[in-house]
Amino acid sequence: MSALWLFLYLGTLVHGLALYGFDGRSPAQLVLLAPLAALGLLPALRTHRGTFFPPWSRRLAGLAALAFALAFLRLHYLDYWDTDHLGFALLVAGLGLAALWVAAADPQPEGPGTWVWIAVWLAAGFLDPLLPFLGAGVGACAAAFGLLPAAVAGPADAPARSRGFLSLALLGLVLPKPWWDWGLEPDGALPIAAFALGAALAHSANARVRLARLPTGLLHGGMALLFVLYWPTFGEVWGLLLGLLGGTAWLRLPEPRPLARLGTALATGLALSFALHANAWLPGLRHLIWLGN
Amino acid sequence: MRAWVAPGLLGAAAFLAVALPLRQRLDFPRTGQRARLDGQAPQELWRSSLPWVGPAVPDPLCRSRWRGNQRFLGREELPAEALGERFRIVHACDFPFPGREEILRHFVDEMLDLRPAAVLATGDIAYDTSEAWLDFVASEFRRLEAHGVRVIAVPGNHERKGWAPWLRHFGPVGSFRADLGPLTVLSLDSAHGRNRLTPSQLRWLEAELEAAQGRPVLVQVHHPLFPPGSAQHGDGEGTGGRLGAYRDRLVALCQRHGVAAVLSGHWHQDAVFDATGTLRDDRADFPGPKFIVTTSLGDSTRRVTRWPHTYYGYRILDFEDGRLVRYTHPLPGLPQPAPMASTPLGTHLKAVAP
Repeated sequence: MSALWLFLYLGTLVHGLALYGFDGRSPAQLVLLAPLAALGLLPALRTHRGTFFPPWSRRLAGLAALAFALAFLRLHYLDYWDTDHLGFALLVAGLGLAALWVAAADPQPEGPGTWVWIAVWLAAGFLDPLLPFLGAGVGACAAAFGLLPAAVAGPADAPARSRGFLSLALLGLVLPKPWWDWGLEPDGALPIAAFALGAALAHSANARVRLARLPTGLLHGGMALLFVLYWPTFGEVWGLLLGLLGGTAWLRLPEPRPLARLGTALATGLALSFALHANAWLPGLRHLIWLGN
Repeated sequence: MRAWVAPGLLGAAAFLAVALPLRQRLDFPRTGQRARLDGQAPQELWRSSLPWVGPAVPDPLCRSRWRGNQRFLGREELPAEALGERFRIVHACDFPFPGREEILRHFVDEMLDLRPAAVLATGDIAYDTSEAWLDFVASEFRRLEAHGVRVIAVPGNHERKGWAPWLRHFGPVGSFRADLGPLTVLSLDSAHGRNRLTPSQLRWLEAELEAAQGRPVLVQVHHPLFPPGSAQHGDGEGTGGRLGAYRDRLVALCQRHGVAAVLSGHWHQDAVFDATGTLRDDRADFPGPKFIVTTSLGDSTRRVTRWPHTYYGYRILDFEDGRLVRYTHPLPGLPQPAPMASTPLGTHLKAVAP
């Protein structure tokens, strides 16, 4: 459930804000940051999991996530998101908080099926860039009621080899390149969906055995290389490769997933990525930010 | 697999719950089309809440193309002979803000007097993105379109301050081509994030220039390509911003394909560069593509370069036999043809000059 929250909710939130505008000045935009702020509370809540996450609260949060997602998308599907609108901000923040509650209460690791679920909803971003929010809401509800199948541990699973911050920060830096490239054009959704498919592939039994041999440094180096090598003509292949590397790095994270750290890392990477690509003239860096620039 | 049936059904039901009953959004982006006088626009962009489910094609002659949940409907292009051998295009940018409605009304009146084939509005069209102001600007554009003067608009950086309302009024089109008889106009949105192009835009531009096959081409992009460089005046009044990514490749493409001119705004002052990035305040008839910056139509004027003339204005581009033959305005005391100068507002229709 952690991956669902990170890539369907947090990713779509940052993409949506980059697309429709965020200056952090209006109360609505501050409300939108509430789920990110709530990440800071997770470690304390998780220590007392039994007290804070009884099954009924998880189900309630799952239903709330579904309700918030349905309400927001029902109002906004095919419209443009006015990010200063307090009512819509409350719905999006409510979805984020409720889905975060379910993710914190559901420490199960993700299997390939969960990544395919993420891929399908990220691909739905082709129809509307905010539609992956619905995948986050439905996924949270399904997870809360135990409908999302649990992952089966692979024979070649290694113990956690990474604390995860660098992996997620790198993913945050590299993954949104198609979003920054395509802007309002829907095509950016497809390389991003290919990323999740690649991660699903990395979670399959055969790939797990083979990719387990790769040193983590090589995975990070590969992701950094893909930051430089993005080109829209090969967007889907690029996404698939990033997914293979990112998915393998994901398998090396400690369990239960340290969602607060991972969320902070992904958000930091996404914000840094936006800032870098929005200032593509930076001397020395500009050649690395866009290939051939 | 069987375990995923329940979540899959839940997902499908949720999707249908937001998509049904079928909803559609109809956009009329200002891409150089005629006004909807007869209730039928020459080009329509539909988005429907379900993919490949949408409106019936209203006209058997209509071209129709589905892409996911987007459907483009297009009718005939403007025939080449409609423009004749000689025609003119007007370039304007950095439009007036609320309180200066008279300037915009005057500009539209002047255009109705001048009758160009099209007005290219190259960004910072709406310094205020309130619904009321966007309604006003769009209604003035419609006044032009109703008289056969097409408006081809791209956003600048100021439209980003109220992006959702802007998109509702002007459509979600960032990079697009408009064919006006023999002329091709390629419009690029340089202001997403900040002043830059992206790889997909560059790839699109390259394909469109290949497809233009010898037709005269104008490119419009809000941010100027070149910095003022040694021609900068003082601190440039804190401006002088330029295109941040793919500048060199864009310039090379324009040279290779013989683009007539690249039109920009953003500086609120006139400037013209050649392909080496040299400010051409010496002469107007140099060879190669012209990289033109046009003064503000109604926002404040500035001194960014050593060029001393500042005023509100627009730029007239005259074409003859498919060639750009004139793009400057004769100012007193300047050699002829005048280098760099745009046309001061009020030149062709006196009355209320700002």
